[in-house]
Amino acid sequence: MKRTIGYFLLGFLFVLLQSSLWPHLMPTEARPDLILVLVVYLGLAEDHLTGGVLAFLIGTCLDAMAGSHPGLHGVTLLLLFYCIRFASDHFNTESTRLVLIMVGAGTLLYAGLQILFATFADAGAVWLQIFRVIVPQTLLNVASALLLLKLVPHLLRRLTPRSEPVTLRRMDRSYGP
Amino acid sequence: MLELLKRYRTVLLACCLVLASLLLYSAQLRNRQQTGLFYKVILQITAPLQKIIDSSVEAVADGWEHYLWLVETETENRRLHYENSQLRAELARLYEARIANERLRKLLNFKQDVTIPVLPAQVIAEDASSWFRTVVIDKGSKDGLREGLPVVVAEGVVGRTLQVAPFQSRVLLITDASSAVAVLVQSSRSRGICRGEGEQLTLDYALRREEVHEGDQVITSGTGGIFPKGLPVGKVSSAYQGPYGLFQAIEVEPSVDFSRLEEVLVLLREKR
Repeated sequence: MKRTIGYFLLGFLFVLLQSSLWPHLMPTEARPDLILVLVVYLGLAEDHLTGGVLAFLIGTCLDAMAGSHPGLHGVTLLLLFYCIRFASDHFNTESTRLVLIMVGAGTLLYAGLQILFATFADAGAVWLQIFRVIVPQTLLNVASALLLLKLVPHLLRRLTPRSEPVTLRRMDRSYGP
Repeated sequence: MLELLKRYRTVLLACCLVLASLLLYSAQLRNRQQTGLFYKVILQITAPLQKIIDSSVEAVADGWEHYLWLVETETENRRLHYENSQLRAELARLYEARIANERLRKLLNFKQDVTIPVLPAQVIAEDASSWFRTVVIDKGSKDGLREGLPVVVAEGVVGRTLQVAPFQSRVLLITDASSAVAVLVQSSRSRGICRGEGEQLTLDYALRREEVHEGDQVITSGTGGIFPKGLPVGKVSSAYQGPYGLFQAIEVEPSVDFSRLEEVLVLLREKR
């Protein structure tokens, strides 16, 4: 439960950062989508129910701060989570490279889902806007995922020296008692 | 049956969650004129935090500009003195023009439009996603705001209020893909709909036979039901009349610089 709340608060923090800090730091069209990185990570690390509910809740929070179609991010992030979750059954989820590939592929899939579901909401030429930034967006997301993968274990070691590595915890859940 | 349910429990669970989210999305789309309670709560919770982040970043940037860049101050001072004298001359000229304008208005018995009360607001955050264009302002329903009110700055139209919480609101910018504004080209009076395209706008449904040129001013037509007539929207940056078809392809450069949006005015129009 603690971990679930932690993920939710992390998602909320990412929403805040993306809406308040990114515009000051990066006055560009494409900005790193940390929420997408988090949902991809959830897809690789969490179970169907917890991860699904978390992805939907984080998406709904994002809906309050992004876009003009309430519910759009909730649906698309939930679908993205399940696509990653079902795909991850066939891969070694401990691989760092897989996370990066999944973030890249996830960005493209997320863009496709956004275009698909935005058409139901008479979103105009949102596809044009997405196509314009999709390449830098994908690269930025992969880069930020790489940075997070390097930074998070380091921070965990510094802040909670006695906690076991994240990867081992995931292995324990899969194969342990 | 129970065995089957157990075997496909995961898939069924996923399907149920997706179905529930789709139903919610559909319900919210039908009722998007009203801001949902959950969104109001999120806006309410995030706004103070956003203000803190915004003011902290501003303070850091201010410190950087004022203390670390002192080397540039003398040159900057000279440039500002020169600019000041230029602006004074410009101000005197504009003052004369204003007096002349007022005199002419009286002469022509020009009827002043009904003055709309305005509410100044500050932009405290931007859209959390890269492919949508919205901003958060620090005024909400407690200040008299509601969904669908026009938001402007001195340069022209900014957008309209989209979600309204008690103390904060989200504004849909005219550059967002889902935004549409009824406009007319000031010189030729040709009508159309301005749609957002991220950084630019496109003017749809302008008839091919109408004369539209690069640099023409585009203003609101007042027929869309949201914006009053005559507010500047932008300038025509390119107009292409193809060999066939009913309409021409027109691109419009917005008159507002959305990357430097800090203070805005909300027009408090009566509810229709």
